[in-house]
Order: sequence, then structure tokens, then C-alpha cells
Amino acid sequence: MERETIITLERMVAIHAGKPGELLMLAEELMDHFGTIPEAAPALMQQLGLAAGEIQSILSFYHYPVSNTPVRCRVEVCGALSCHLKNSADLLHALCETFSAEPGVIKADSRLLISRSECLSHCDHAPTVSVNGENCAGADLPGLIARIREALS
Amino acid sequence: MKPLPASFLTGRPKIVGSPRLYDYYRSYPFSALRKARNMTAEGIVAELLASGLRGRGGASFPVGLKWQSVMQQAETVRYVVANGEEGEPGTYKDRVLLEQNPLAVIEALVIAGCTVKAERGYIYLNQNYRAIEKALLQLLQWLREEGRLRCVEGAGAFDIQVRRGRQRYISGEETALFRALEGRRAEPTGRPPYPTEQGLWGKPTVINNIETLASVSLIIERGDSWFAAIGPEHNHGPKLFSLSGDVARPDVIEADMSATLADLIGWAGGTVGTFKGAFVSGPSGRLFLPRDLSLPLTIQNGCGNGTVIVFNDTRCAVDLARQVTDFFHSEHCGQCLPGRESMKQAKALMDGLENQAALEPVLQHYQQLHAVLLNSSKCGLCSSGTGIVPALMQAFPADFARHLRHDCPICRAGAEVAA
Amino acid sequence: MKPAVTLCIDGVPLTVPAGTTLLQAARQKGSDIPTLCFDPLLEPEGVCRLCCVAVTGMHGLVSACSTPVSEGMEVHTESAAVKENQRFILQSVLRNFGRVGHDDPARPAYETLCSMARNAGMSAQEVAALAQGEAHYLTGHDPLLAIAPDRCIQCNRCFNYCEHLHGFHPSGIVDMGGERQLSFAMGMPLAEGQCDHCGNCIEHCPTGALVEKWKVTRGAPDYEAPSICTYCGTGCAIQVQVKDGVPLGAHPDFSDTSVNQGQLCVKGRFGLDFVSHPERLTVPLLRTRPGHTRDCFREVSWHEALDHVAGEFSQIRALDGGDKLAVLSSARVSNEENYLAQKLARAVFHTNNVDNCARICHAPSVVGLTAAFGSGAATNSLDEIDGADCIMLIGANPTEAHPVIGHKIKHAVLHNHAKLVVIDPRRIWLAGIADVHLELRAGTNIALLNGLLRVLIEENRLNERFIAERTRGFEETRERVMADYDLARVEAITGVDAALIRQAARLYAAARNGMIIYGLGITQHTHGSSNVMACANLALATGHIGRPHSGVSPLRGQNNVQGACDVGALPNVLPGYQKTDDPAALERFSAYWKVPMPVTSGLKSCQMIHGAKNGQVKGMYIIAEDPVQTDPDTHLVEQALSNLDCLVVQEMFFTRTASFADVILPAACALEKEGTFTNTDRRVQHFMPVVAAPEGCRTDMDIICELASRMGYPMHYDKPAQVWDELADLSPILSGVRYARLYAGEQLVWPCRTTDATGDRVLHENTFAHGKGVFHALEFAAPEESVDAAYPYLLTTGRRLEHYCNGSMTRKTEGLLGLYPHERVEINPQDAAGLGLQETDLVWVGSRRGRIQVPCHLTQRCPPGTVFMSFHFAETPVNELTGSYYDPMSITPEYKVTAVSLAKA
Repeated sequence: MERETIITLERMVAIHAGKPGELLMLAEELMDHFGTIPEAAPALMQQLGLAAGEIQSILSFYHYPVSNTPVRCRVEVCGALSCHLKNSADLLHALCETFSAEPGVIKADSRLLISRSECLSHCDHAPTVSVNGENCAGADLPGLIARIREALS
Repeated sequence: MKPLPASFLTGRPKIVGSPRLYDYYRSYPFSALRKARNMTAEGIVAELLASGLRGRGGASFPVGLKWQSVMQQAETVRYVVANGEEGEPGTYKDRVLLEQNPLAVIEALVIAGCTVKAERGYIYLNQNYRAIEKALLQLLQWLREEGRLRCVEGAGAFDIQVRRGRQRYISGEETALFRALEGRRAEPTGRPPYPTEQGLWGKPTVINNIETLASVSLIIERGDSWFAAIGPEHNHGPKLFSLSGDVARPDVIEADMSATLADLIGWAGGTVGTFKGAFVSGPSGRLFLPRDLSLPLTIQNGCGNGTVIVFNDTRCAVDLARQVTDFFHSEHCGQCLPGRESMKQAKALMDGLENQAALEPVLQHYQQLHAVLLNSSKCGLCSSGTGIVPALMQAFPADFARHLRHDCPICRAGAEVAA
Repeated sequence: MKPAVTLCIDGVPLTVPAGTTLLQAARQKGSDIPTLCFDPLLEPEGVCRLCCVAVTGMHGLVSACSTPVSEGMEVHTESAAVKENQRFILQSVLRNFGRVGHDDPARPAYETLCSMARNAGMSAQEVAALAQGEAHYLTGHDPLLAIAPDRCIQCNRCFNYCEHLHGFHPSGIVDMGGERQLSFAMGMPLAEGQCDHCGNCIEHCPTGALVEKWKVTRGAPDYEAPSICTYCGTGCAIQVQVKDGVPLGAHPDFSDTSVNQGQLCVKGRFGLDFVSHPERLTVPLLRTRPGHTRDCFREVSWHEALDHVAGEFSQIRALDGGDKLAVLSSARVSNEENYLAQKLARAVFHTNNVDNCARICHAPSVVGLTAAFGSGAATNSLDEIDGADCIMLIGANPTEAHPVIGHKIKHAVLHNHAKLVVIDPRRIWLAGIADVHLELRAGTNIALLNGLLRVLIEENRLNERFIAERTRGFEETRERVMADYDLARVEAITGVDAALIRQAARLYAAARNGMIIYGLGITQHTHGSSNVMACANLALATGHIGRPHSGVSPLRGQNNVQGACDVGALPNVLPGYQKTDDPAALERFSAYWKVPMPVTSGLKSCQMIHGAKNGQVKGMYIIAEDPVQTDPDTHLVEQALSNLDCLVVQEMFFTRTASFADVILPAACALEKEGTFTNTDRRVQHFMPVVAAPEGCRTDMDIICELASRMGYPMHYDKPAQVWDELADLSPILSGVRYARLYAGEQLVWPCRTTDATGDRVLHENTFAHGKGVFHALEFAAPEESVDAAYPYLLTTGRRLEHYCNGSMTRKTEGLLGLYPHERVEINPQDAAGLGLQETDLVWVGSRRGRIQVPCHLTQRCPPGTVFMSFHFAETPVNELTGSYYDPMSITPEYKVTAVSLAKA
């Protein structure tokens, strides 16, 4: 990681030093800023007053990704029951085909991740797809593909 | 078709993400809060009790009793929490409510805080509600700057913090939510002690669903008699229903709990195709069959949170059963032995269905899991997650029989496309 | 008084205090509710749900371990729903268990599970039918522990115990749902990995998922037999696990009356492989030519070996006098054998030249505490640590050197909220949970201790009454402290902030019961004895002495160093600390032993070494000691031993010292004989043989007796009890301790003068052993070694958790080597940066006596300017660097301060 990034990371962590209850708040701040939990972060998080094992235990419960390469485009296809009834499985398959991606696997070159998610609470627009946190109606496949392409460029 | 009742909770334009957020803030009357400031804490609780308001998140506990219990604790540090996790599949009413009228929730949370003398309030939000999060933060900032986040003029500030969840169904469970707010694994802690006795940070805590809080604002503003006059006995007040699945116009419908399943489906544009069944209260709720279409969606009939997922006769019950089983298997926390084991066994049962000779043993095994969980699991997630699948097996044995024969055209078609 | 609650369990009413759980209440009544995740030492988690019971009016079942009783509750522990739930849970566990063979490490746990399943209503056939498949123990991720993930029920007991009762966080639960599992972060030495392999997790695992690796690789033991651990001076009672005649490992003894009460450390639990190691010496060896390798010796019979030794020593005795002979007895052999070693020296060699390794560690304690209190041993017992509300830990690192004592201190601090003051130049683990850490410059103890006393005087925190009634010499001490030890000066000398000194002194003075616990960081200095007296001053000034949970207690290092001193393996005292110039004592011994007694005070061990170098000592008998590796100034020791006419080494392994011998005699180890050890809090503990000694080895007792007999003094005892009786008859402080009482399981400490007493746990209760407690006015003097431009860093030496002394025992256990395979010099990262050093770089560490090359480890544990190494590895002989500077009163070397240079290799 570049020096500036490390300094930013250290500064972000230091704000929560001595406050173990703020681990998840910090994790969300890191996700917002870096798109991932940087690899150096868990060790730094001990400043909050938590042991390394505790940090790993908590972060792993919530499936926070720990890596230095954030996903540039995160596509979540809701697979919960209401969207399943609107053929979200087909939609996931179609998107993966279009972008030559495997569901749940980050595409190294374009940093694209297409995966099935649990309920996105947008059942009125089922099948719901979230592109980098923005919900779209999956029924409009061409529009969705355009959206994703835009996010990747 | 019955006419749709008037809207009190919803029926407004979406204000979150709109450039008119400030206008909305400026013109919001805060009638409930102003009234509450002239009431005693006991008076407020009495109104809530008289109104008959029961929690809208699914557990349906009388709200007045909850607030009262917290007030009766010896511990003087208290908290109030708005539960906006909304993780139950098919549920999006809280999202819509927050998009349309977020101040109603904030208002109620301030009332709650003042009534039980809480130090601080939290709004725990679904991970995906980013626009709502932004709007809430902005509204709270305006309120804070104008010194309006307090119980009485000149009194100490009562602050509200917005906290984002991390897409974990289990964190909608009250004690698990507290653990998440405390920065820990969202694993439920046993009850007793109850949240009203030892909740967030071990202190007495009021935790209410978003819709519940919005209802509190209505009650304080319009009075308990007004509220109690709406809806059947033990099911008072306007209620939001999230409709989805095989309906023409999936939407949040505001009605009262005298509405039948048929009414709601009608207001949502009718079933797409022929009605086969519905999950009322979502996959953790109750299976409604065609013969149940005329049942009112009351709490007693199994409608706790108001979620209705409709499916038509092109759907295979086995596919639905698998969806449900897989969901709870993915989302169970794994902390307690019966939960972990039951989820593992339930998934194995459904995954290996085609290898079974008959359905009866599968049904019995699944029912046994459900019975054990009802008795001894540490929280209610896994037990409520194993109720609907046996009901599907009993209601649609033909669908299951097709799978035992390796002869389900519906699922095979789905599998072909996915391959 | 808690309000009482009346409830009904299975129809039987009972009344219990409010707050009692249903499980506790049921057990009181005698109902057996099965449990798995419940742990008596931890808060109930309620995750296994096995203990669920029915309560009338409550929905479903409730977890008995986590539900408190309430008035009028009707509880049913045997209902159909309860049993069905139990069956479900146990079936789930047993179904994942896999088949359990006879040798399966989890056999005992499995049998408990089966028994619970039967009680829940399952038939034997149903239980047996569940045993399908094979469970696999993972053995690759840790040198000493193995885990079978299928048998783990995620009860959380292992890491909860560790977190709440041991202060470490090596493991925890990761992920969730079906992926939820226990993650063990081990396989790393203590400082990095936060696991000290104490084995408590194994003891608390209800399913045998977590076991010692040897149970997987070597199988279940054939039998277990009790013994006393032969590592440090804590004296833990152990149950040695033996298979095919080989000790594989040990479990702790759990009885309340034992020293360790269910605790054990990594060495005691796992470090037993040395007993059966192929490198054990089993044949006497006689030197054939100069050199230090095995082929410089030839194997001979015992007859030939002992004849040779007897001949050589007799000749020296005849021609030059007995004072030209010296015996270096052992802190590792039994009391009986130490008694015989000093009897050999005195009655057979006619010299008082007998000493033991206490010389190089706690002799200053003996000198200092005797001077201050009249008795040179710990004033209180270890189980009083729990109950002290302030512990002052000086110059000791018990979480590594005395782990079970470290655990007691942790428990007192973490659970009973005792205050902790740590005085140590390094940031030891306990400094992390201490209220105050005084990080003094090495070698400045007197100044600091005087500074603490200064605070007590200045701030009127003295126990005036105690000083007046029970002490003498305070005025002179007060004058000295007030004249020369103002806090500014103390701060300048020690480098410790005056505010911290005040804080520490206040904590100690304000305590109801303050306990000083100290180690070699106090004694291994040129003013070691004075340091001890300075500690005593603090206890006398505050009155924290002469009652339970207080006092001044040294942590004796070796398993029997206390005993070796007690039974007279010292040059200036006879057994029982009777002086070698006391006419009455001499008379009594002379009459009993039927010889004239030597009258000149004997040489101390370091003087023996110097004597060997200059010809003052010609023959030396070294029993189970390795001075070449463990004495300071290695070159001096090597020269000295080479110069002897006859060096006899009695050993289990071919150590560096043995390589200098003329004759090497192979001895049996503690697990192969009977005897007694005396631990650091004066407890005499008896042990029986656990396995047979290798053919060819003899006990030290036999060897000494044979040697004595061959030198003209017939010595024969049928059994160790006879030796003990003799020494007890001659030593008033031990005379009440007898084997019959030890066989009966009595816990005895000395002084124990009569057979109806159990001994005084707390010393100096009404009067000090010599009347009044004595204050000493002490002057700070800089250590002999000082840094300069050529040698700008201070080296301080010490111990590591995983290894012991010269490493001859611990380096025979693969797992211990796996945890800590070789020595590293610990350097502060700032210093390292200045030297261009990175982690693991090789470093030349040089002193005025020599230099050695060793990899480095960067750590904040060392303050800038100070480095640390242990002496456990012969390949990096740190004592080639240390010097021959001694405390004049005790002749104990200053290991703790050596000036060194560091350079990247």
C-alpha cells in the first residue's frame, strides 16, 4: 500500500483508539473509503483495545473482505424468495455470461464481482439488482448492463 | 373489491433523495412531540397501553408494556433503539416508511427517549438503505443544530446515532442487534434477562420496529381512542403490508388487520396466474393456502410483520422449500448446538430429497427438528425457520412426489437455464 | 444476605438464595442434569442446550445453567420433552464423533457422553449405532496440541477460559452459521502467539476434541502415577501418563491442597521426553584422552568407575587434605540425596566445601532474609497470593519462569482486583495488567527501593506501631534514606518518573495485605543481598509481614533448590541451617556421624571454580549441574575445570560440563526413584517412582553411598525414608516431617518441629525468627560492569517459558523445540534501527570477555539501551559474555548487568 494510503488508514483507525465498541463503525468507514478492509487494518485495529483474535472473529462473522484490492464494481443480484420468483437466478446467470464472470468470484482484471445476495428489501422492484449500492430493477437487463459497464470504466 | 382504507403512515411522496428534504423538515409539525412534552411519562405509557399497539416487527409484543418495563428498572442508564434491519425476505415496508416520512420515526424515538429517560437513541439501519441513511443524518444534524433534540426546552440533549448494519438477518433479533451496536458478533444472548432489563450495554433498552415507532407518533398525535378504533380486537391501528411475488403490482399497502389475504392481493392488482399459496410474515411465518384467502391477516392468524409473498400454481413447492431451507441455513448464527445441527440436517434433507424413498420420513424428521428447536434453541430464528417447510410438504405432497420420482418439469426447466 | 427463593424441583421443594441458577439448585437437590458447555469457572453461555429443563408455565424448555430461580417455580428435569431434547443433542454430538477405539484420546469423554445418552433414554445399541466414520485429529498446526474439528461442539469453554482466567486471546470463533468454527492461533511462542500451552483448554474441553498431540501420535497411556514436577520451584503435583514404560506427558493434580490446584505449565505438562531420550547416559564413562567429545571416553563398569573415583579422591584427601576436594550438589536431586552429598563432603571428604546452585541465584535471599527476619526462606505461602490486595513483583517474570505462580498472580489481579506493581527493566507480560510498571535501569534496585521507602516516610505512610513494637534499626535507615535518596536523585539514577514511584509506594502502603514477590532480578547483582534487605525494609516499614497474604517471598528457581539449602548442601550451614561453627550442632553431628567435623567454613561454588583454576581445589564432584553453561564467565569455568586433577560429573546427559569430566556417572532421574523435594514455599513433597530407570543408571543416593563406602566410610540405607529420618532427627526445623505422614497425604511445610504440627505457613507471626525485624541502611552503588563507548548496551539474562536452565531436559522434547527452537537476542526496535538490524538478522554480541553470534528479535519488551537473552541454548552460550562480579555477602554473580556491544554480523 502507498504511504499516503497507510497514513489515511492509520488516521481513520486512530479516531477510534481505545473504543472497542466502535469496531464495526470503523469497519464501515473503511469500506466506504477504501471499498475493502485493507490488509494492514486488522493489526491496527488492536488500538481499539481488542486482541487480534477478537478482531478476526468479529470481522469474519460479518464477512468483511480483507484485501488490498477493492472491488471496483460490486453487483449483487438478490436471490431471496420474492426475487427468486421473478427469475433472479436466470438474471444472475445472464449477467455472469455477459461479463464472463463467475458468480461470487472477483474478476481480477476489471475488479468486478457479481454475486447472489440475500434480501435487498426492494421486493416492489423484483428482481432487484444492486450496483455499487444503488438498487436497480433487474427487469431492464440492457439498462442494467449499461449501468455496470459505466461503473467499470 | 373492498375499498382501500385511508393512509396515515404512508401515502406521501418519497422525500429521501429529493431536493425538498429541507422543506419537508421545515414544514413538519412535530405535533406528537409537542404533545408529548406536555404529558407525563406515565401518561404516555397509558396512551400506548390503551391504544393496543403491538410491535410491528413480527413478535407483536404490546409496546406500552415494553416501555413501562424499562421505566420500572432500578438502573438509571437506559437506551432506545429503532430496529431498521428489515431482513425478513419480502419485507420492505420500513424502507418505504423511512423514504416517505423519516421524521415520524425520529420524533417517536425522541418521545421514547424522553419517556424512559434514555441517555441516547440509535437507529440501526439495513446495510442497503444508503439514501435513507444520508437523509436521516441530515435531518438529525438540522435538529441538533437547532437544539430540538431534547425532551424539554433547556434540558440536556438527547442524541440519536444512526448505525449501519451489515446484512445479517440474525441482527434483526433484538439481543443480536445490541451486540452489533456494541461492535461484537451479532449472536443472540439468551433470555432472560430481557432487553427491557438488560439490553444494549447491559442496560434497560426499548427496542422497537420502525413502523412501530411511526405508529407511536400517530397515537400521541391523534390519541389512543382513534388508534384503537381502527382494526379488529387485539389488532388495533393501521398496518403496513409488504406485498411481493406473483402479484401484479407489488407494493406496500396500508390497511388494517381486518383485511383478508384476498383483500390485500386484490389491492396489489391480483394474483399473476392462479393462486397457489402465500408466505404470510415471510419464510419465517405461516403458509396460507387457497382455503385461507378469506382469513383476516391478524396477529393471531400468523401475520406479525405484514409481509405477504404470493406464489402461483406454476411454482414448485419443493423449490420454495429449498429456498427457505437454504436461507435459514445461510443466515443462522451457528452459536447453539440445536440450531447448528438442525440447520445442517434440514439442508441435508432437502438437498438429498431425490434420494429418498418416501416423503413421510423426511416430513417427520423436519418436524422433529422444528419441535426440538421450539423447545431448546437459544433464539427463535431456527425454530421459526423450520415451520413453513413441513407445511409445504403437507399442503403439496404431489410436488414432492414428483421430485422423489425425479420428474419435476418445473425445477428441471429452471435447472437447465441456470446450467 | 440474599433473599431466599423457594421453588420446586421434580416435586421436591427447596429454598436457595436469589441468584442461584436452576442448575445449581438442581445439583444441590441431587438431580443430575447433564451439561457440556457449562463450566464451573466461567459465566454460563447456554449454547449446548443440553441442560434445558421444563418449567411449568414457561414456553418450551429453559437452559438450567443460565436461568436464575424465581419464587414458586416448578421445575421438571425428567419430562419427556426434556429427555427428547437431551437425546437430540447427544445424538448430534455422537453422530459427529466417529468411531472411538481403545486408544482414542477422547475415550474418557466419549464414555461420559454415552453414559449421558443412556440416561437420556437411548439404548446401548442405539448409542453404538451412532459411532460411524473416523474423526481426524489435526496435528500440523501446533507442536504440542491436536484438535479434531468434528468433535468440537463450539462450547467456547477453551478460549473463554483462556480469555477470562488466563489473560490471553489466542483463539476464538470465526465465521458464522455452517462455517462457524474454532480457530486456533497457536504454534507460536508466547510473546508472539499469546498461547503459553498451559493446557487448561484441554482440561476444559468436554468432548476430547482438544488433546495433547502425544495422545494422538503415541496413543492412550497404560497408567498414570503421581509425582512432583522436576522443573521449577513451584512444585506442582502431577499425574504422569506412562505408556510402554515411557512417560509421555503429565496432567496436573486437581486437589485443593496441592500447590497447583489443576494448573500446570507447558514444561511440566509436555517436557517429559528427556526421561526416555536415546541420549540418556546409561553406562559409566572414563576418560581416555583429552578432548570434549564422547569418543574421548570409554565405557566402564560401575565397579571400575567408582573404584577410580574413590581412589582419586582418597588420594587427594590423603596428600592435600579434604579441603582440596569440593562437592557441587544439585538443586534437582532429592532432599535425601542432597543430605547425603553434604554428608559425603563433611564426613568423608572432611570439608565444608559443598554448595548448590542456590549460590548463583538465591543465596542473597538466604543471606538477606536471614539478616532481616532471621529466616532465609519465603515468609508466606503461594496460596495466599489470592487474597493479597496489593502485589509488588520485583525482578521476576513468573508468567515465563514460574507459570503456575504467574497464573495465581493473574487470577488475583484479574478476578480479585488486586493491585499490581511491577518493577522490572523489561516490559514483561504482567506489566500489561499492572497498575504501575517501574521500568528501572538494570542495576539500580537499591536506589529505587530506597526511593519507595522515602515516599512512605515523606508521606507518613509508615506503620509506626509495627516499627516500634517489632523492629529495630529504623532510625539509621530513615536517616540514610532522608539524607541521600530524595526522589529527584532516585529518578536520575533509575530513570523512573518520581510520580510513578510515589504511585507504587502508595499502592503498597495503602493495601490491607501487601505481598512482595521477587526473583533473580533482585538477587543476581553485586548488591543482591542488599537488594533483598531493601525489600525487607519495605515490608517492615508497612507491617506487611507476619500475617497471611503479605510478606516477602522469593521465587526459588529449581524444583529442589530450597530443599538443597534446607538439608545443608551449603558451605556455611549444616542441615536445618545450623551453623558450621556452632559447637552444639557440631557436637551432635559428630556424634551421629561418628566423625570429627570440619571446622573451616567451606568454599562457595564460584570460589570452588576460582579455586580449581588456581589449584586450591584439586578434585570436584559435580552432581546434576552444568556450570560451564550456567555459571558466568564461561572461559574461566572451562579453564578451571580443565585444571582439576579429578572431575567427576554425575549426569543424565552428556552436557558441556560432562565433556570436561574425568569420570561420568549415569544417574536416574526423579521419575525413577523415591524421595522428597521442597518447593519455594517450604512445602516438603514426597514422590514415588513412576517408571523404572534405564538399565545401567543408578540413583544419586546409591552412587553417593557406594562412593562413601569405597572411601572408607560405610554408607548404606535400605530406602530414602531412612535417610530422611536421619536428617530430620538432626534438623529441628524438619524434625516433625516424617515419611509416614507424607504417605498419609499430609501437606507439611517447615518449620515443622513436632509430628503433631503441620508447620508454619506464615512466618514471623508474633516474633521474627531472630526476635525483631531488622532494618538495614543501604547504599546504592553502581554495578561493577558499566557501559562505555566500546560496550554501550546493557545485557540482562533470564529465562524463557518453553525451556529450562541449560536446556538438557527441554530440548529433548520436539514440541518445546518446535515452539522455541533457538535463542534470539531481544533488541528494542529503536536500537535495532540505529544498528541497521532487521528481524532475524545475525548479531555479534560482545563483552569484555568474549563474543557470540545470535539472531535478533525486535521487541518493545526491551527498553532502548537494554538487550535480553536466555542461557538455555549451548550454541549461543551467553555466559561467555557475563563476568565474575559477585555480591560480596553471598558470592552470587551479577548476571543481570553485563555491558555489551552489538554489531550486525
